Amino acid sequence: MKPSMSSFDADREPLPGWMIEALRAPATSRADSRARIMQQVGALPVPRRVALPLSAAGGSRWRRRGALSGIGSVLLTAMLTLMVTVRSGNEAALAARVQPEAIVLGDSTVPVRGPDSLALVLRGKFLDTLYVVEYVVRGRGVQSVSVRREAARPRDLAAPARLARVSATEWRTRALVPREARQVAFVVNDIELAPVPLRAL
Amino acid sequence: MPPLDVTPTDATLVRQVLAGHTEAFAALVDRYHAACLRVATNLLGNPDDAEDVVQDSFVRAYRHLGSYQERDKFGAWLTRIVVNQCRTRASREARYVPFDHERPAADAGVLADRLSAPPDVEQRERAAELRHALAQLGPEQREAVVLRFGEEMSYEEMAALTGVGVSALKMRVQRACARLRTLLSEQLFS
Repeated sequence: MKPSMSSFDADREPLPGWMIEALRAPATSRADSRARIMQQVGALPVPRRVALPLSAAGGSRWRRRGALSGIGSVLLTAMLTLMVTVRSGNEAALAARVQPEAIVLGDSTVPVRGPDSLALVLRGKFLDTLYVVEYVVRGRGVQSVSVRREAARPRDLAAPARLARVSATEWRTRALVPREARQVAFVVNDIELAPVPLRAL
Repeated sequence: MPPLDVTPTDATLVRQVLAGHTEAFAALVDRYHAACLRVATNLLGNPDDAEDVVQDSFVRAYRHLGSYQERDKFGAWLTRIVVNQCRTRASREARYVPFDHERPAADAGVLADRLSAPPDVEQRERAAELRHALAQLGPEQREAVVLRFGEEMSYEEMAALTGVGVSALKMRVQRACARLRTLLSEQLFS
């Protein structure tokens, strides 16, 4: 509905009629306005129709970004739930099939290394004592194994250690681990298992 | 038999321009120039600035005619360009309305004399008072008043043009009207 122009009512019509008429009064134009516009336009190249993105062109709502709703969101939720369930199922089955262990064999003294080594050397500490840990994974259907260790101290380089296959059902490797380390996580067939605590021999 | 209406629609003219018939754009200029000039004059206050802005807006519209969608009203699309150009000009020149701010505010005695003047003079005087009062409004409030009352737009149309929500626009109009009421004398408002 267009606003009334006739009379002023403070509640319903906030401007009096003369004011609205003044706002709607035609503005005086220069005589050559049209010619000047057309002169400028004539110097420009002919505009070309811009190809619209699918969303603006009224394409299928399923292919429009941000337009998912109704059954679409239900299906998406179902798919995600299925994916998570399958992955959880895989992880549970794998955890039941393999036995990972991290056994502390003893200590080893090695020259200090890592990003803090210079600071340690300057403080007169040249050697560092680390645990010698043997990682063992036993089980069937294992294609690859690595061990991910939480950084035991700031700026600790906790690079993943890869295990070597020693038999059809056994994978092993030894690694030096800071004495502060408490647990490691085995990644079997690209699935990370629950962390395993280091245990003494 | 009544004569057939052969006036081409805006969409037809746009299609003709896009097909290379530049002269079809002149029909669009004829159709919308007055309305665009009125919007720009109400927003900027200065007729020369308004003319320049309208000219730039038409050139800009021509340049971007390829992105115009026929489902939108051409007039609304063009008005959006004009309003944006007015905003740009205002921010660039740090003045939305170059009225003579030295001018004293409406004085009741003077206004009483003016109101007894001949109708056309009175009308001009009132229009000048209104322009002066509009100059005192902030750009957003002035834009809201001009679009709502000058261009008879619905709040939904204003929202589509400005990108501002309907309730915010209603508030702007309401506040602008209250401010105008304060600025203008009771004689003019009665």
